[in-house]
Amino acid sequence: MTTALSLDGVSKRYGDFHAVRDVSFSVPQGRICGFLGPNGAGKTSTIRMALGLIAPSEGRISVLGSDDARKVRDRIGFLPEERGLYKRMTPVDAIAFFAGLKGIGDGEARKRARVMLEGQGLGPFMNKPIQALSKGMAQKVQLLSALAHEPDLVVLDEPFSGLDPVNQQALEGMIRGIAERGATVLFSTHVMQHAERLCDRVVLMARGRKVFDGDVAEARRAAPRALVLEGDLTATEVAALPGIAAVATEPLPDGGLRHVATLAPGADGQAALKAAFAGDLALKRFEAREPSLHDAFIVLTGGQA
Amino acid sequence: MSRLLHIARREYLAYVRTAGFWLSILALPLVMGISIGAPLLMSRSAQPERLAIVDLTGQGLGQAVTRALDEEQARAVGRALRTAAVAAGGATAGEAVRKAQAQGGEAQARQALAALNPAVAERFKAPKASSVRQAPPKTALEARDARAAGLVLRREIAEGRLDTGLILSGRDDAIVMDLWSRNLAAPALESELRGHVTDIMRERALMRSGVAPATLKAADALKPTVNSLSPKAASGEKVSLRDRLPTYVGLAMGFLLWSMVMTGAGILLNSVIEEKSTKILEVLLSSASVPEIMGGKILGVAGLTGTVIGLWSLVGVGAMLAFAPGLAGDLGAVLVGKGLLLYFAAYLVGGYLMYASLFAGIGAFCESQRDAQTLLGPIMLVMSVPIIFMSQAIRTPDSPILNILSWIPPFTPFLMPARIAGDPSMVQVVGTTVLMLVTTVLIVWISTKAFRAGALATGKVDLKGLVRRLLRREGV
Repeated sequence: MTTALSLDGVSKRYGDFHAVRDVSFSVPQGRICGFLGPNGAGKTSTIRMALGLIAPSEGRISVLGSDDARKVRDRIGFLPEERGLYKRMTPVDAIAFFAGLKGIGDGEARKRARVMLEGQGLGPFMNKPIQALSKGMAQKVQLLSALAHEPDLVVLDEPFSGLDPVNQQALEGMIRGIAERGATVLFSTHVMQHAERLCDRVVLMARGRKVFDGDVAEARRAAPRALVLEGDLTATEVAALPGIAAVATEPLPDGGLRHVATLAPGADGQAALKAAFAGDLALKRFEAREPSLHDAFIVLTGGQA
Repeated sequence: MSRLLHIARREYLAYVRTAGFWLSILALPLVMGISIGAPLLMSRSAQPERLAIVDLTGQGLGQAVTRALDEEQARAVGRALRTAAVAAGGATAGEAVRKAQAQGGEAQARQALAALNPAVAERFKAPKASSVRQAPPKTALEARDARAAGLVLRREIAEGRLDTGLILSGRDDAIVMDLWSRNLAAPALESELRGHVTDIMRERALMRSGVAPATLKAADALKPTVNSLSPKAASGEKVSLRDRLPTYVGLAMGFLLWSMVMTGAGILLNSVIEEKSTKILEVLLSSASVPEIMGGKILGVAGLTGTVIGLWSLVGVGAMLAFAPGLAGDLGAVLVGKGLLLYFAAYLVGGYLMYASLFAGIGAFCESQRDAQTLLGPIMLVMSVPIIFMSQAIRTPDSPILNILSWIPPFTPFLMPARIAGDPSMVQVVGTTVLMLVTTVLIVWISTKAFRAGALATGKVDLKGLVRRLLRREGV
């Protein structure tokens, strides 16, 4: 499979500060890749290097077959983390302007802008100044500005921030649409649910280093599985079950306790259940919980959030 | 190149489409029109003061004052005739009317103007006199003293039959002027009357000392014939108004250049700050190179400056052709003949590029106007220097300090146009221009690096970091 983006041993230093250390990963063409990590993990610096906005201190970057993203600017779409548009411009003008910078003729750019705006339900607002639009609408316009030239690689830095749930869902649909067209999407976020729903693979960053690179299921496996047990049983009784590494307990509103028991690596949850029945514990509820990407995120970043 | 033009187009349209741009374009001609037209309108609409003179001196002082007022009015009409001649036919026409007036007074001056331009002569309206004389009431003339006469004039003024009343009393060296006026202050007329009475008292004092009236009249008429000569004059010796015109035009060009460059650079600064603070700059950087972004923005704002200059020139040429065609001809000859337009264009390009790129580079480090003020303070201080020295170029275009300052590249675009009429040496013209262009290239280069470094920088303006970044190679 062709690689749309690859980083090999990339580092970035600002004086004595290492923003990014020896990061390597690649994103196959046509895939949606989540670029995850807590604040200050080095995501934005890595994205800027990938886009050719800043030069890496070390390492090699290849974008759409080129060793310099600046040479393939017209094939890349970019949505920065903090967003803004020319406030007095209309959505049509704004989209056409940015598409024009990517080599699309004015007439064609305007045509595409109108079609895209209509498609996103922004038809009635296409000729109003952007300052008259709601934040969600303006964000949609900016995303459309990054997509109007139909780029082969789309880089979205925290695209979901500031959007309400309805607009977040709409944005997820748009991202899926980009990938269905055959384009590659790299988006950074620290909201794991989006990555879980959208991504074929994830790259996880922490403290300037890559801490994970693989598919979502693989990432989940990095986090321990857990059992949820409710009833009139004590933490000590739960801890005594086979394969239990740790127990967290909280009281239930209607009496009794809820225990979240972390399974040791390789332990079998069914063995714990059997032991509970065999020990005649007063168990009202038992649930084997698979780890989420959020759990994996916490584990892989060492608890940074 | 297409990206540069695309950015330039957006920059241009973003301002040209705003009402504020057109208002600011209209503001200058409007203010100029008002500042020229308002005093003219006021003097034309103002009614002359009805003035009554009561002479209690018994020495014919009142008659002498009346005569002096009439002579002053004749001089004012003469000046207006000459001005009309210059406006209609240029400096030579003004000279012809002056000569005719010297030979045959107002009538001959009017004839000379009619010969030059009958339409202008027909339209010519003499300036209104500051006062019209009105006979004082008999009771005032027969009053015992100034106080009694004053009571009469006071009543006349209070009842609206008179505007100003002058009572002259005393004798010889101790003349007293009591000036009754409708208004609490009538400084113009009061000053004029005081001046005439003072002159008459001096003349009479000299006559009492034995100076013959003929001698006094001859002494009054004495004045040297001044010949302003210069080898640089068009005639080779005698300096005419047309010879002096380039000096005034050069100075005006210097000020115009300064304000245009500052306005353009200021627009650019605000535009970059807006893009930096809204992170649009980051998107632009992912779509175009720094030279394309900076070049586009500079070109776009240059288009605005060109639009402003073009429109103002059109309005100015139109106004001059309508109201002063002669002067317009002289001005055109000066601008084209002396090559001032060429200098203006060269210094405008050099000065604008120098300051626009500098301001764009600074803007890339600023998230707000407050940030910009921190960095612009010293630059604005430097910018005020040419303004201080520019007006000196009229008096002493070749003074050593102006000469030295012209060699300092940030001042060259403004001081050289102001001095160019003084025909500075070719070494100075070429040398300062080359130095300015080299400095401009250097500043554009530094500003491009600063723009690149500043565009993605965040937080407070860090001067040390700025210098460090300028010395380092970065992407984009």
